[in-house]
Amino acid sequence: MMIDKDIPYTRMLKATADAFRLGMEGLASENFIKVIDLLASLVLDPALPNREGINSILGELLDAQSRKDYFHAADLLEYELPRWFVDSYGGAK
Amino acid sequence: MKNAAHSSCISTNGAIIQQRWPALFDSLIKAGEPREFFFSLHTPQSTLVINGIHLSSAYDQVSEAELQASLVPGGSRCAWIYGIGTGQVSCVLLRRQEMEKMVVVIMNPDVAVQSFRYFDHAEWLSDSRVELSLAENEKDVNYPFAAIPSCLQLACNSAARLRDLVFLELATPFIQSAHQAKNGETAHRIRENMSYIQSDGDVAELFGTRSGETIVVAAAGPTLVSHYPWLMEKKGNQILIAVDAALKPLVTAGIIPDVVVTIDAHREGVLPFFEGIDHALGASIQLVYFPIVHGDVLHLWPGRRLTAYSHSDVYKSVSQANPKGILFSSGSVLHSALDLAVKIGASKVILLGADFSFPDGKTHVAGSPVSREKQEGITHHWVLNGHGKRVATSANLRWYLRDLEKYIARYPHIHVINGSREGARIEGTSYLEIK
Repeated sequence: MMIDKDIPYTRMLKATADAFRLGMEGLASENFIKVIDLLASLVLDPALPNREGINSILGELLDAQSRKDYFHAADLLEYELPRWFVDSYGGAK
Repeated sequence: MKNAAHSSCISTNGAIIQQRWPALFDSLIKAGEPREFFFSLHTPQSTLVINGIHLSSAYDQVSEAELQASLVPGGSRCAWIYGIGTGQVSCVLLRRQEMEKMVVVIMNPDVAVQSFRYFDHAEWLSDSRVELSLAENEKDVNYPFAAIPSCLQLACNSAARLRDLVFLELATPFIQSAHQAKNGETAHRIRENMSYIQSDGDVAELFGTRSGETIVVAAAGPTLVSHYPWLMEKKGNQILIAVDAALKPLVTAGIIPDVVVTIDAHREGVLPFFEGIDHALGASIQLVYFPIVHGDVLHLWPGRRLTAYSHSDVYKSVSQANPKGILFSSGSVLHSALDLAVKIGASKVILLGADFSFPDGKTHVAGSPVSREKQEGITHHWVLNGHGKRVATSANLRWYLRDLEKYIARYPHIHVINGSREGARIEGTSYLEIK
């Protein structure tokens, strides 16, 4: 599934994770760029809670994507990032 | 499906393999160990991490396997699985009552042995519907299939071509939807170029004009530069077709192609290939272009222009009104340049600079406006070069390479020669040591 910026984070993260798990490299890369753009804009928010947590996940995510460790990238997108949202905001945005 | 936190599964898995596939068992016994691997224990589910690649999810392996298995349509009676992973995908598919035959393809014996060591694969290995095969025995992708991307990433050298074909199949729906998304832009470009299309020549005028000859095709890979002395020597004896990105480097070296092929719609990408070319020189070169090329290129070109179409639906309407010759196109201008050589009548085609990779860390031939240094290591995307060594590449170049190979396979009577062993090995070509 190709994502757009208006769908909820959780669906966006799941769709990107699914593309990685299926080995659909083009789709995964395109979705991944959109996810990173959105997360980067979130990090710029001065009122961001639990900044250390998201920075750590983001770093790991970029590393995993860069070495083509698709399943680890997918796990971070599907499980770790939503958990960060719940911990930080009390629910997915 | 169980997994073990230690290497206790190998005897059970190995015994089944030895009994059912003794020849394959002998191959697995000879397998080496991956460069680095560990069994992750501190995650919700344990998995193997081999050379930095997780073999499966460390959170929910069954959901992941169900997702991957969903690529095989319900009701299918047979299926191919590329990679074994932890074995979960095989188990999921075999639970389908209608499944009569399943071929599981090992993409790397070293990786498979580690998986057999740490995961219990007995359920699917002992299923009589299953065949186990090595990638080197599988020439083409079979359908329907599911794939384990980690196993594709970890493919061994002899599985490289199959890996690329599987990734290409997985990418095809995305590539097609990306093309469809550009249909509006493409239609606009064709409208803008209509006066050129109507008045310019037809690429078909060239078809059949040099029957039985040797034709040289210059692509824009880094190794093109090593052929300049040979090209200088042969200049005038053989037709030289160049792709657009190779034009400036060739002209700078004093080598003037007979034909240049261009296909790119993006002004910023394509115009630098033509800007600054001497008008008198350019006037002697024929430009073969597809109607989506940016109009500024056509305006700038001092020589004869010939229009070509591909089989794409975007040309259906314009080609009916303005019939012209058709060239093969599958993403790379080199596809079209080679097809032009074939349609001109070549019995032998010499490909120069057709590297599909980054030999010496360079993306293109020196002097091409798009030439860049590429620092990325070979652990990410790679192909085998003519020496059987891994050379870094990109996902796109791998796809272009495999599509070119499919094209070459359709013309077994045409002798295609690859000028350099430093770039990607192209199946269906032979090498001519050109000095």
